[in-house]
Amino acid sequence: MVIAIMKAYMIFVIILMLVYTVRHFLFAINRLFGKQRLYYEDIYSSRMKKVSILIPMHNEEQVLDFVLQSLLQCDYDRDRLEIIPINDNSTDHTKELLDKYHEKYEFIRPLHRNCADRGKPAALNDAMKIARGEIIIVFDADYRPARDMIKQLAIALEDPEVGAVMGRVIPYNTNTNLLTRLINLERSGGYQVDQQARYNLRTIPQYGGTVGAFRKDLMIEMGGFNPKVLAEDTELTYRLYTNGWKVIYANSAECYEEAPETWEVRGRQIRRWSRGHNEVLFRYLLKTIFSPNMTFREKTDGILLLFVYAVPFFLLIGHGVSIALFFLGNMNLLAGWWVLLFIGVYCSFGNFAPFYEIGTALMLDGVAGEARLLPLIMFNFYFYMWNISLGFTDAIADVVTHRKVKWAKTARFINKEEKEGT
Amino acid sequence: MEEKNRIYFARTYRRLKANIWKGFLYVLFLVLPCFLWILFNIHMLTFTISKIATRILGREFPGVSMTIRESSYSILGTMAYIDMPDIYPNLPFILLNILTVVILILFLGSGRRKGKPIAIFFMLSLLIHMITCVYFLFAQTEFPYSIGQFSDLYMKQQIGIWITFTILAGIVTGFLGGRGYLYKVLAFATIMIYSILFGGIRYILFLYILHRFSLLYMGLMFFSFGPLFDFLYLVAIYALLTDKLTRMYDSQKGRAEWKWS
Repeated sequence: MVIAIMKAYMIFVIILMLVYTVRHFLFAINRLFGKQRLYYEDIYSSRMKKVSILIPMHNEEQVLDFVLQSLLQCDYDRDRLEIIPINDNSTDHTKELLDKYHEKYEFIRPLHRNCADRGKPAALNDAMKIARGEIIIVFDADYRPARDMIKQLAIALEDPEVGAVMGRVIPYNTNTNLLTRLINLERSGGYQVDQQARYNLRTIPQYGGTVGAFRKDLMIEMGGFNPKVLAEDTELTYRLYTNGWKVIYANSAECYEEAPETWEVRGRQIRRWSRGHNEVLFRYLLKTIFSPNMTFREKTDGILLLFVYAVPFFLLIGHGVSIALFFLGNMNLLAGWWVLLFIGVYCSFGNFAPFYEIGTALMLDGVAGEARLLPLIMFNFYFYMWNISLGFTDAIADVVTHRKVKWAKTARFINKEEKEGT
Repeated sequence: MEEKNRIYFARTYRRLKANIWKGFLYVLFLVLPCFLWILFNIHMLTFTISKIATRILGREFPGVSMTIRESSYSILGTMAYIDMPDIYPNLPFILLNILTVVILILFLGSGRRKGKPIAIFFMLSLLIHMITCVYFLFAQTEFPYSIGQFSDLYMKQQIGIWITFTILAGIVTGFLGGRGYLYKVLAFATIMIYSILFGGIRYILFLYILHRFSLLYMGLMFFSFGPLFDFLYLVAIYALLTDKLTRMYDSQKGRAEWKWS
């Protein structure tokens, strides 16, 4: 009986991997050859909506200059723009630095928070209460938006169907070390191919929590961000879709971020993403399935997207099961034709499709040289499988114990010399 | 201000012209014949590898009986593999392996190596080896595989890899725009030739290890140095092709292959 269950589980994993393989290949082929759905960048409005830019900050003295200086260079009408850096319980010089900016620029209006409920969702909720704009744009403190970014994001919300818009994230510290170069490849595949293909195919482009805009009134009407959710961005995406709104992707709205420079920080980041994303899975799976506001295509991809951070956990269990079957002498799951199927999947399970996606993205971006790093990403597979699985178990523990999630900031890496140089 | 004499398609929404006709011919005249050749020559391929393996291993292990056996492989016909006498590990050897694994796990799980992808990969591999060691320590006689069975499983797995790689490599090299077919054919051929050569060499190496150092290493070889490493060269060759094509499509001639949506 136990062995039969184990074999059935292996077959489940094989089918699961096949489904995701097909999904990734579809995305890559659509992006590489398909007619692209253009963004609204050629549309101009004589009276742009008023925009509030929110930047959650917790001890960001090292990087806050970059985001604020970049925003000051942006070409959006300043009468219709305000910047609200949210100093969320900082213990360094963030407060003093922000106040200096306020003295110099009236439209930079810092919000200082000194309260127990620290965290990005709570901070954004507080800032939305004082924001004067119709549109909210969120940036992380280590981001450096391009000059036309605000205009590009804001124009999408002229479309009455659109609830939120997401821009493209590109690491700026790509050449620091091997890790940042590999993250750059993943980012390239994730945005240039994955997000754009989902936008093309009218499935679910994901709002990523930063480099994105949404309607303030709508968000307030829906109760603001849920402070109990770690992945407030994914939650917003599903909240919008299940309520009949669309999220769109602006591939041309490029913003530059600092990628983690150590494996330890990257591991923690991935684990946190996994935990937050899986919480959203538990909350929104049934809502997505039964939502009357979503098309069949949106539901199908929406469900697959919800499970993205659960699949590595299923694979890890699959690894364990296959080892157990091996030692129990029950590898006859693999007899005859099963071998062909198993190997086919096992190859996809190392999963070629994401590599195809990244290779495609590099061709589209015209990035020569970096593709040669692709084989190294294979060893990341175990790294991700491990950290994502830990995040999955965290999410289950959150549900079971009803414990309160704690917001954690990704460590910054920029050093003083670099800062001065920049 | 310097003026551009031509504005190229920006990366944001550019896409490649899909040359379906060329792709179809590529599949018809290269991928399909290769696929059929492998399908109808499984016996010849596996027999040749087994024959070479017996010659090489025969030199290493003179006097050891090595038999080329044949087994039926569904509708694909018969395949050949080598059977050799089993070598079981003795107690000191198992204990030495356990000790080595413990030391290596401690080494990989500490210092600057901790949490890095390569360390996680080797730690998982060592964990598998530890399970095997414990299995042999307490239930050696119950171990369910002989070298012959492992050899049979390996060959079946290898056939699966050859067939799957033909399809996978065909798709990913054949449909990457309308230029660089020489490089695409080269990449496809390299993947297939490398796959057969690598599959054969690894087979000989595995059998050598199993017979020289005992069945203790079977789990490690099967799970850690199996298909993952086949996948590695597939990705590596694909990466080189992608890099070449990226440069080609951004050259003066290659730019004509881009379309704007």
